[in-house]
Amino acid sequence: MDPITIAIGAATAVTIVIVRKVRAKKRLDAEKDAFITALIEENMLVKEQGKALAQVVAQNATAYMKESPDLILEQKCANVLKDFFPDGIEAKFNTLQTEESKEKFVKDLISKLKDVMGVGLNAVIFKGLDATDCGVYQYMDEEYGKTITLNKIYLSENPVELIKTVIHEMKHAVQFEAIFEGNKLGYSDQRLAQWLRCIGKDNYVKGDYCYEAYALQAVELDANMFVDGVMEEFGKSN
Amino acid sequence: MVSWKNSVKAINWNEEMKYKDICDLFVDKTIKIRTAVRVSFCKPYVRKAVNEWLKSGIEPDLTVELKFGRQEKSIELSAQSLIHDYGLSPLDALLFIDWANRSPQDALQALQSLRHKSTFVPVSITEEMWKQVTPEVMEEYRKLVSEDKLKQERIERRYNEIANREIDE
Repeated sequence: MDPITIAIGAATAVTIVIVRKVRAKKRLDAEKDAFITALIEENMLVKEQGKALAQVVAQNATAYMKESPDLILEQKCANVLKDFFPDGIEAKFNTLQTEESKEKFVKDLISKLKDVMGVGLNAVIFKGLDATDCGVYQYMDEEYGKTITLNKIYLSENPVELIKTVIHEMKHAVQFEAIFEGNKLGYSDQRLAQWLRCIGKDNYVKGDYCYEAYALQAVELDANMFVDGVMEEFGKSN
Repeated sequence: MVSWKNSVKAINWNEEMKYKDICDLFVDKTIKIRTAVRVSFCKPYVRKAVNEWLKSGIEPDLTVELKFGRQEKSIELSAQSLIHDYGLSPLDALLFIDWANRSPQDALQALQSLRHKSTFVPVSITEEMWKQVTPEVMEEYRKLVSEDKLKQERIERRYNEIANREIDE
């Protein structure tokens, strides 16, 4: 073959390759454009119609979620309440005439709850506290070790809140023991870490400068949600 | 109404208050900065009330109506009630109103807890106690500590941006 023919052949081949590449790129670009357009349209659709749903999903993703040990514990505690308060909390307390009998009754309740929740407790103390202070849990009280202190005013003024406080404080006991005494109930490592992050003196937010920050701490959120869960289960029979 | 002038250390009663003036209310550095930044994210009417309180020392009397739920239930929430019935400080009462505006159900549930506080005594975690924490939990804990450190850095950056800005801007 003469050189000119070879050259023309080569140029044609190169041209064909180039054209094919250019067409392929155009096709790819067109596909990309179509994909991007579809994405934008979908996004706008999500924005218009799915905003509320997206918000709820986002909230749930960061919201504090219960774990399965909580659900089991809630049922167990509710069953204890059903045994102790077959006709309701106030009805039972109305049958207890003296402060001593009320104190003894609550101590018996706590003893039972201790068993079902698998926690230890060395002392239950009733004393006069500020009107809005219902109770306190101490993991390391200097005198007794693990202690729950309850406002004795609530024995007569508001027994329902007193019982809720008992459950709240017992949940704090569960939190502490799960971290430091073996995770018998099977909470996740992340959950224990969330609790651990809040319970130290340096990290715990007291309610005196921002109540929102206090209430949203993992340990308090957890205990409050637990109380709600137990009372809801208990309420199904009352 | 009680005057809080003695406890509020603002000096320039005729000038608008700045975010750095909020810091005078607290001793702890972290709390100072977080609170100032928290106020900066409040609704304008709440920031205005914070500004007025800091300037005058007079308790805020802000009252808001909150609507929530499908049936659009509404309740009134007042700073005065939060201060005198629930024992919140004036600033916390205003921050609480801001919270209730964003998440009315969460805030109102917390309000219930305010009347009947149940809490625990935080502990000094000893070396012995740290040894009881499993390595897996410690790993998760360290992640949380890192996240908190980043958050704190962001908060401090934000504070540095706003410190000399007027609260009621």
